[in-house]
Amino acid sequence: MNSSISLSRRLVLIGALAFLASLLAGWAYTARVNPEIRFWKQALVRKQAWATEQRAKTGHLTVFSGGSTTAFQIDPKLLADEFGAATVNAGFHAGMGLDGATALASTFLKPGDRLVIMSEPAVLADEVSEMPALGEQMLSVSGVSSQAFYRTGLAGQSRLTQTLAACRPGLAHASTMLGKVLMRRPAYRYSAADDLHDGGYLTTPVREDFTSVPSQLAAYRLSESSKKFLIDLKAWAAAHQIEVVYLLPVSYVPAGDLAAQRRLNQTLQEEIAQFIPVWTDSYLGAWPVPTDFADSKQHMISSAAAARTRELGRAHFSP
Amino acid sequence: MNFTELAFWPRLLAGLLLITLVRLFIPKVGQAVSRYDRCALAALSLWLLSCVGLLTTAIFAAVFTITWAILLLMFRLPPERRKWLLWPGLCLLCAPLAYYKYRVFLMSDVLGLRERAFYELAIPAGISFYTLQKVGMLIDASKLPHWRPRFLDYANFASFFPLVVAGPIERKADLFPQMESFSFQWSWSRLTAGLPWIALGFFYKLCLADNLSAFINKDLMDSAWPILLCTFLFGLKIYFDFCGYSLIALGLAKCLGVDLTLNFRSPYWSGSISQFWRRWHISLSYWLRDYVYFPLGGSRTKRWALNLMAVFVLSGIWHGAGWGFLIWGALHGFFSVVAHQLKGRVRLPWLLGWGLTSVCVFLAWLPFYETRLPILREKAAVLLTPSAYSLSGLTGYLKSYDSGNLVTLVAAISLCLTAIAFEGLSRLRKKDDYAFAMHPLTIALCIACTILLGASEGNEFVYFSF
Repeated sequence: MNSSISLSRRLVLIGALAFLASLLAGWAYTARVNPEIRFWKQALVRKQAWATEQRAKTGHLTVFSGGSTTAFQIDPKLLADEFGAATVNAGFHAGMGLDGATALASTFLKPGDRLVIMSEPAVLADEVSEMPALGEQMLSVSGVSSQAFYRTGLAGQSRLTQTLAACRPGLAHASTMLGKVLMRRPAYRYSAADDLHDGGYLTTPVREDFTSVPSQLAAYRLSESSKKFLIDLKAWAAAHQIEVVYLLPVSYVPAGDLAAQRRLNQTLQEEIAQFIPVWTDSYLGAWPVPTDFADSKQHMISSAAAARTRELGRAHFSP
Repeated sequence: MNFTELAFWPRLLAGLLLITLVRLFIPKVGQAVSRYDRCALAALSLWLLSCVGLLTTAIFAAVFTITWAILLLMFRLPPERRKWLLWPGLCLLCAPLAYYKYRVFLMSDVLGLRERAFYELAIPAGISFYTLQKVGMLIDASKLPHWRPRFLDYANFASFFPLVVAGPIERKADLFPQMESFSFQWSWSRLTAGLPWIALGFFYKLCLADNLSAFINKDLMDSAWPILLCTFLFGLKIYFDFCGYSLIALGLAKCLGVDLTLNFRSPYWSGSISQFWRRWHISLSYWLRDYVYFPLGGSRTKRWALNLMAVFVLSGIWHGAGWGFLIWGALHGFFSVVAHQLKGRVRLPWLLGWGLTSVCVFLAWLPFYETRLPILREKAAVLLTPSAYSLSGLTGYLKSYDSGNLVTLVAAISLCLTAIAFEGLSRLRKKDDYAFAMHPLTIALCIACTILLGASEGNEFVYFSF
């Protein structure tokens, strides 16, 4: 009898230990080893340093928030050098979701600042009930200030359970990493030392050929969760005296589809304008030059990003 | 209730804590503690069910009340007249199931009426499972002249939270006595009897089934390969998904001192189709055998083949209202008739029998998951076209995956096949399919894999839609 009880206790103890050890290992991997999180954490630190420097010069900041599309097409250094504008590129990874990217960007903001949401149309059309794991991981390991726009309980969960559920690698990540190790490929496609620039602007030497990309029109409408997001963001911005606007990020669209895609994007833009002000431009989210893009149809090469940033500067940051 | 939903566990633990605390103040005289325990279990089950949704709770309450009313009426009649009440009672009991689950199919697919209103009904969670459980109980009650259940025991039998949403479909003879003597007693032995099943269930669901979900692309059909892979993956997913749920339910019940039916016994190691059905969704198979197949005459009549077909078609329709489910049931009926016919005449080596059974079972999953009839026809045509199996088609399909996804797919399939191999080894060595999971190190491994390798995007249990 006694031996069966001790065996039972041992089994429960081993189970409990495995549970706690796995949670701890998952968190430690996410915070210390995961190359994707490490890169974006380094990016966050560099962006924060730039923001502090810019704020000291002019007092107020304009923060561009979004996914890597944003990171690749807004050059804050150019805006500072040519227009004297204090801006920071807070573009992270679209996989962090609207909530994840905006929560990170909002950590740069103070009363009187401006937040430019540049999330991709596909992200705005996505119906989400909880923050994507990548967003939750990034926020968990980098910390979120109480001032930040961070909506807890998206799926009725507490912050702790959200963090515990997110901070672990998962099979897809683990097997991808294993594949990279076996094939001797870099752990993450971007490097903080080579690809990350002042202000949070990102480039890559990788080039892909988009000249023969097939025609693919995409009509996006705001999802219900994105509408709720915009309503909540507007309320948060008003409470914190932040100006919020939306700007469509550009991506490559074949010349034949240009007019049609711009019409579709304009519809989305008009929908967004019902919630927050929109900065309009002539591109309407569609850019027809395939050679202006680097490793994806959303990631601009530096000359194109410079042209795009300059136009933005002329429209909104000219003295 | 969804056991993989994070919100479920704090609710359950809070409920159990409250029950245990209040229990300390119950006077230990007479039947007070026993009555308190049974009341508390019923309250806990109903509360957890109410958290699923309003419609689910309302329909459950309706079916629950109808069944109790029929039982009371039945007990007023002399035993020989009870059967008069049985059929109208069963029709009344099945009416909510028919309305919510089969109305759209009957009106739209069978009668060809296309009105938008038909498409707006959600199926209340668990309705197929608890209706069948109550039907079985009513049939049993009609045959037992002296049986008089107490309301509280009936309430616990009908609403016991680990099984109410997705089974196992328990029988009166197995569950009622356990509900009558139910008590909230916490002990290491109860915990250790249940926890390994819960750990294995979570591993099956979150680490195996959910990691496969991302690769089940039902829209690719330009060659036979994506259809075959999708069908194979779905076969793995549905097993680990439903078996995972059943194991968690089993483990939870064991922690409370209740033994439920083990719903699966390594079905993918079956050497024949009849063996498969003795190991797959066992509580449903045995329910259909005892309440449909045997009353029809079973295998002792000349129309045994018709009886078999009827049982399997009914099984298909029970799973879902659609032609695909009906075809799936009919296919299994056909396989079973052929196997029954060849029994004793042809003796296959086990390996060949296993191979044939596996091919039949996995191919039959195609109409089960492909509910769009025109697409199903097209897919079947592709599978019957020899040129659709070309090597270039296979390489083209594999190239459609990027290397990262391909590695993940291989890893997910390898994990699933390893789990199935362990089941086979367990069965071979210890005559117990899941004995491997009772070892402390396996439990630790299951927990670690679930936490570290579990899919980041959760998927609802497949059987919740039935």
